[in-house]
Amino acid sequence: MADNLLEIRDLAVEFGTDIGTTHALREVSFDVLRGKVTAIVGESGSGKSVTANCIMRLIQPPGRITGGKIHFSPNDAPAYDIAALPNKDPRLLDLRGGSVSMVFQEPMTALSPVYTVGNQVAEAILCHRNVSKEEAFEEAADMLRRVGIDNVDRRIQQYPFEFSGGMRQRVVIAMALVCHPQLLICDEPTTALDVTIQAEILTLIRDLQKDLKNSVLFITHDLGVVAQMADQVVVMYQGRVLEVGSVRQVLKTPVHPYTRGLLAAIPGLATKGARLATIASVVGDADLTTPHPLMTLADGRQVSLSSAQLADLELTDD
Amino acid sequence: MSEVANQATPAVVTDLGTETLQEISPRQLAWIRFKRHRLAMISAGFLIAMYLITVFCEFVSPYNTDTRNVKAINAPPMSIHFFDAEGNFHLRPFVYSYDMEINADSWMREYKENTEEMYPIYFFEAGESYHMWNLFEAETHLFATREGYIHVFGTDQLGRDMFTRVFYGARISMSIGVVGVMLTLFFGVLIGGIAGYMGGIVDRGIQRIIEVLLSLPTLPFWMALSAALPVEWSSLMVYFGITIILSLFGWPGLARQVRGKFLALREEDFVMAARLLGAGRLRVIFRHMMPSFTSHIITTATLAVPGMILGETALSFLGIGLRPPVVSWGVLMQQAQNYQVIVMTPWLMIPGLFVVLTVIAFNLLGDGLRDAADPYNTGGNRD
Amino acid sequence: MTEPLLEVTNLYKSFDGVSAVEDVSFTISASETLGIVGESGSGKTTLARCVLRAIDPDRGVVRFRTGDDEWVELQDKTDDEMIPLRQQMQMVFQDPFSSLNPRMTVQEILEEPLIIHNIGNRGSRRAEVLDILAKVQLDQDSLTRYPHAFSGGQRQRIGIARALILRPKLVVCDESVSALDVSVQAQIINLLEDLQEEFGLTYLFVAHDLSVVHHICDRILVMHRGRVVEQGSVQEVFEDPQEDYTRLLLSAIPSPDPDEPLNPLDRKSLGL
Repeated sequence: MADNLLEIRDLAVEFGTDIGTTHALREVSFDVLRGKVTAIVGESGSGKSVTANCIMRLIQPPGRITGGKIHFSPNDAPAYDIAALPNKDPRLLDLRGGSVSMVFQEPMTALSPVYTVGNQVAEAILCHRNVSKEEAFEEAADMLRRVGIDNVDRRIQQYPFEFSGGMRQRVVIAMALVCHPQLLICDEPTTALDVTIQAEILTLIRDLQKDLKNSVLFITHDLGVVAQMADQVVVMYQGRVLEVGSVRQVLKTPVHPYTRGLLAAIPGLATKGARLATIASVVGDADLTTPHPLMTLADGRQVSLSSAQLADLELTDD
Repeated sequence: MSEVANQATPAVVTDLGTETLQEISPRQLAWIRFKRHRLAMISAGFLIAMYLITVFCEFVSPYNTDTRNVKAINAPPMSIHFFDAEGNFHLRPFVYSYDMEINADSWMREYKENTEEMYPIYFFEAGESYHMWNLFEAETHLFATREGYIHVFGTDQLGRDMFTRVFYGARISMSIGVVGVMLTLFFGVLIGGIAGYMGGIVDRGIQRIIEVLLSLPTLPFWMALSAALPVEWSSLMVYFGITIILSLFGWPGLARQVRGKFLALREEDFVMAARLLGAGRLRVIFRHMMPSFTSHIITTATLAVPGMILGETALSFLGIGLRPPVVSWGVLMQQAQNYQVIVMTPWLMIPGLFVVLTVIAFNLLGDGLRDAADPYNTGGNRD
Repeated sequence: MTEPLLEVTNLYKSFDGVSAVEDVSFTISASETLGIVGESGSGKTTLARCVLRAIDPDRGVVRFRTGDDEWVELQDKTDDEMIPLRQQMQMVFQDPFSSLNPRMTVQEILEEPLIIHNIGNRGSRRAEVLDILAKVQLDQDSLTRYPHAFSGGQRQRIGIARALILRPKLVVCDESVSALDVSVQAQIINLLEDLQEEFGLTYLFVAHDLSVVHHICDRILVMHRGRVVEQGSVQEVFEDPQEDYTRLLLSAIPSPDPDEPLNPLDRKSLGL
């Protein structure tokens, strides 16, 4: 069994818009580690959500995958390239909601307002596994208990509007986990939530991951969330990967000027009374728009820099 | 997917170049989007052509509405030829005269082309004199024959030229659509605007009236009201009477839309921003709210025109709208009411074809306008 | 201590019988930044809008010191009486997309406040517009463009320019940096601080992001379920919170340092 659940190589996505073509992703390469949390961090337009949608093959016209591989090695089946699957391949049905499931930013849109919560979680089980309705409801109740919903016997018969935002997100997480996915993709799962609720949901996702030992791909713009959640971090900017490394490498000793800029721009206790650093002030004259290939450094991290910048790095290392 | 919509426009590669794109006004952006809507563009072209013809229909048609050709009663459409029976090419198009025979079994007239006698077609030719727009006498027609006759769409049971009557009918039917929609717009925007702006008890009162009006079955009421129009009214008065009756049931729907839009816009941040800047009511309404919903109103109005045209056609068809000697599509269709027409003289249904084409064109145009109306709604969310 | 600019006393506001703001009192001094923090439903936005009379409070007093050093009570003013006062109090919105009229050019957007208040003539207004545009660091060729041609951060600059062109004394920032990317957010925060210094502005800064509030504010007001649970200087509140709810909020902030693990307090055991 390979170490990496997913190996994404040179993934490219284009969108034909009203007024031209947008390159949403260019040469995106990174791995999703088995049994670990990989976080993609980036600002709007970085392509982080597009990447997640590619893994689920949810890119709809006018968007399309124009190149690259998404090499998926499931625990229990032969490996295949998700990007190359034909649209009607049965493996796609198993992939979506089966071996890979997703938690979105807005829990209300992921839940149907006209079915009870229990119904929806059980439905997720019945879609992918051959069990009786009673068994499905029992498992649904177990999973709801596990994501921290009290009074499950009563709550299971309620409708999503009877739940608060945080509770709804718990239900969505239960739905996502109930089929024991090998990969859970969380696309900004706490962005719409209050900070105290966010802390609860983050703790929940982290604890469940430790329990279930599944892989998680966590997409966020918030470096604080990344620091708390991730084992490995992928920094994206305008559809490209700029830096990949362990959470300590990327957040404590960032190499790429853009990563350094992002970190410096966060207002924190230390910045009180001082001007905040902006990306521009940190990046200086380094050109972020010219693509450079990802190079692996001595410490194992990967970074996209010009050869001049790389040379500078080695000098400062010595 | 929102990621893409989210990028600042200059980052997008465009056919226009980023410089020009940034200067584009909302109106230009809407035009760009509208132009891509093929069917809407074709419909717009068709409707513009139709309205131009109705304005100049005296000139476009070769005869007057009540000119009879006794040699051609219930005659079928003529074909226009460039080659004669011997296969010689003629630069000037021509038609053949009719050869009429009475069918011994059915006692119906049957027409054939008489290849012996041809009538060349002349353009911008003097013909029957007419009173252009009730202003001046003229006799130039777009096309006419110097000898004989030309009936491109055939003739009716009195020998009147259908081509002429279709376009005279278009003048009445298509203008009723526009005038009726204008009246509808006036009442709808005024009353809906008042309801949306005043709110409270006024709003509730107007809402109830609208609900009552919308719950009335339209057709019986149209019929009752138009039956009540005095018989001695001139055709012009009947025309306006029918228009008013049609718009009477049109405004409540529009008023309701305007009110809804008004309420929604009142909550928009940029409207609140204008209020907080100290803008007075009139400025908030006319500078900030109105421009945002004119595009919607234009769309709604476009989609309402075919309803009006169909209303007139239906009433006249039933014989309680406009009456001969006025020529409208509905009046023309009334002649085509019996089943014999379908078999014997199908060309009397040509006005129906024009009704269908016009209604479809308005609907397609409305669709295109709706898509273009909101240039900033790209479908993606903004975060 | 500088002189107060705004005094709110025992303010109440409810919507359809549901209380949004209950018995809130506070004071803002001239040239300071007061942060209002709280989660959704805490009433912070309602409070800010009551202060600006964007909505009408049910009860309570809002006193504002005008440019002529006169105290006026805002809560009983009619909409028309408020118009001249609006020159002195402005708002910067959260959403830089919806708060600008998409059918007006930047020139029209920025000139409108001056036209409304009958300030200057065509030429002098143009000069004012150019001046404020430079202050928010936008190019002169922005003037002929429409809002859709700008990125989120640039639009927020336009929103700030529109609020400041009347040279107000009080500016309410309603989650003004919350919708922005972190790098853009840093630029806008710096800009707001620079402008405060230059024009001697007083900010009422409504936000849910505690690290932003900590960075920019002098004093803060913590709101929970419509009430003020704690207020004080930023230092006091962040370093030595007195109330359980404030402690809960502070414990929930995820630190960007992976060596400071998130360890939120338990809402239930605090009885909140």
